Amino acid sequence: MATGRSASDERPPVGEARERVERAVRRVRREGYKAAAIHAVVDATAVVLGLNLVLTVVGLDLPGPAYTRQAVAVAVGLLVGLVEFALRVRVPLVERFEAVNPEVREALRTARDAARAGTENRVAGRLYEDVLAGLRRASSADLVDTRRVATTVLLVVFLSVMTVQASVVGIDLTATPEDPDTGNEDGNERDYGGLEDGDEILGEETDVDEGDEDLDAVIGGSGGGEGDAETEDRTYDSGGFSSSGSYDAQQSGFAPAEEVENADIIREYNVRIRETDDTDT
Amino acid sequence: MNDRSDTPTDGGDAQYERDTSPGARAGVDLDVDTLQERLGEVREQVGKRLVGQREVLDDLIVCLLCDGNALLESNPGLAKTLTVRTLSNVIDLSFSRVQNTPDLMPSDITGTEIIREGEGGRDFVFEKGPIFANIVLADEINRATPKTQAALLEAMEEKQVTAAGQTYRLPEPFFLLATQNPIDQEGTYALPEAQSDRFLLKILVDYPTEEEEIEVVDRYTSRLDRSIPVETVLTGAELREAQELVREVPIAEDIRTRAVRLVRETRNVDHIEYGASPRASMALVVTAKARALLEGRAYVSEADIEAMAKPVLRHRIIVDFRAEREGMTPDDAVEELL
Repeated sequence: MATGRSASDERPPVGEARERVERAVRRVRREGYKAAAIHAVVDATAVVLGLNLVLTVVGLDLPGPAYTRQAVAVAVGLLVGLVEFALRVRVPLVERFEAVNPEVREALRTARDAARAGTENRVAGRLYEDVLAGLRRASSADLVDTRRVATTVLLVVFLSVMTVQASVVGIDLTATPEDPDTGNEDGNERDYGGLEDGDEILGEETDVDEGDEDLDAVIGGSGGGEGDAETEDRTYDSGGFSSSGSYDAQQSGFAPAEEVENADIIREYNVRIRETDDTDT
Repeated sequence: MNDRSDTPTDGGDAQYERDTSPGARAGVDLDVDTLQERLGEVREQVGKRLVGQREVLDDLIVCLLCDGNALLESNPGLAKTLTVRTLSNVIDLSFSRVQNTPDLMPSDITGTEIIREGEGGRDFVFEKGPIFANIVLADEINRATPKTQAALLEAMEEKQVTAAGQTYRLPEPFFLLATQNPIDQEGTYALPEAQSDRFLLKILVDYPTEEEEIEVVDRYTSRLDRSIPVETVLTGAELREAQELVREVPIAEDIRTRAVRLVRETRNVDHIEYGASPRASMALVVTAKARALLEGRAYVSEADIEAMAKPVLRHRIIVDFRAEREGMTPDDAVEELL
């Protein structure tokens, strides 16, 4: 029955063990900060991308320079990240570590209290050694909610792709459906400002009386060979039709989708004019 | 009536200031690992004689480690004496047993002055009673008169006895393990609440399981000699050192607070008429520390508090008569608080 002098002789002094425990607790706390930062950064990134995408798609016009939308998204994301970080570190970090490492929970909790109180006796020394050994086996990985972070990272990737897509294709939920009056196939603004509106040209539709003034008109011309269009044109230009003004040839246009009636009227006018010309000749 | 063994033989008064055994005199520096190994061996050695009753044994060891006294309550024939006697063998402590009866006088326990003829004439010499042992088993303490009970309880509280105007210190370590029978209450004197509070633990010894009982029968009916040999694995001095180590066991602040609140709560709930005293708070924490060491840990766990709550509190609270009428026991009340 020997008196006990064995393991304690090989152990470092209790004071040294206590200091190591205090250092270990500080390291655990740092791990907690890191884990909180990981969550905050990932969530903030998701918020930045999501908000930027929403602002782009909605097409909200914000005052200021062109990068205002992006700046707003970054600012909100930063705010969200900071708030989340603050909330996460508000919960005591060492206790969070203890919660995810139940095998060292009570020992670490007791060792923290004992070390803080400066306890240096044989049993406390053994406790410090046990805790340090337990901490070597423990892991701070569970401080990070891996599933949640992975989901958020996937969301970030998705939002990134969607942001690129929205920028290239130009998705704008505020725009009306494709309209020939407001854009062409490329989505660009139309630069045509010529004849389009029949009402503008012809005025309001009114019934007119048949005219009673007869005019004699002489139209000179010479026959041309059949199919000789070039000769015919030359003869016409140099022939009997004269006018005091000059007119630029313009192709009339109209908006068939909206102004179907006007288009029909124009077409009717054209047909009548041609018939009149044919009759006169 | 009294059964004494291994009582100190060296005469005089001063020898009872300390245990004079070689182990006790030797300077002992026990470390935690060694102590825990020894405690494991104690369990193993006692297990050679005792079948089952692991919780009872652990509570008794806790009591020894806390330098406290225990009240064992059980029906007859459940190996209380065997357990205590075996513990005294394994820990190398002197053991004595007092069978309490209504006609037992305090001097029968503490000792008395007798006239002894010598060369110098007749002298009064103090003849020590059975209380002068390291472990005293006071059987059926509730059968002794209140006066005798008071003598016993003074001894266990003060660790000393007074006879003929002289004070004699009891050997260290000193443990009084009293038993009482929960049935057959006729002719008994129930311990006053103030005195039962002085017992660190009240341990209930229950009947063994069928398998355990078969093992008991096999073990003790296959040989004539009922004394199964056990080895001494811990000295009295080492036990004193172990008691020092128990006090050093760190406890987390929130666990300590929980223990104190648990005891305080016994004074507030409706179904408990009288709650436990602050002595119970101290007892709960120190027994939890001892249990932690016994379980191989160097810190107190919440499980230690929960395990020790009933033995510490069950004799320190009185259940309200309405709750008692509905069948609530002190253990139920503690369980509810837990």
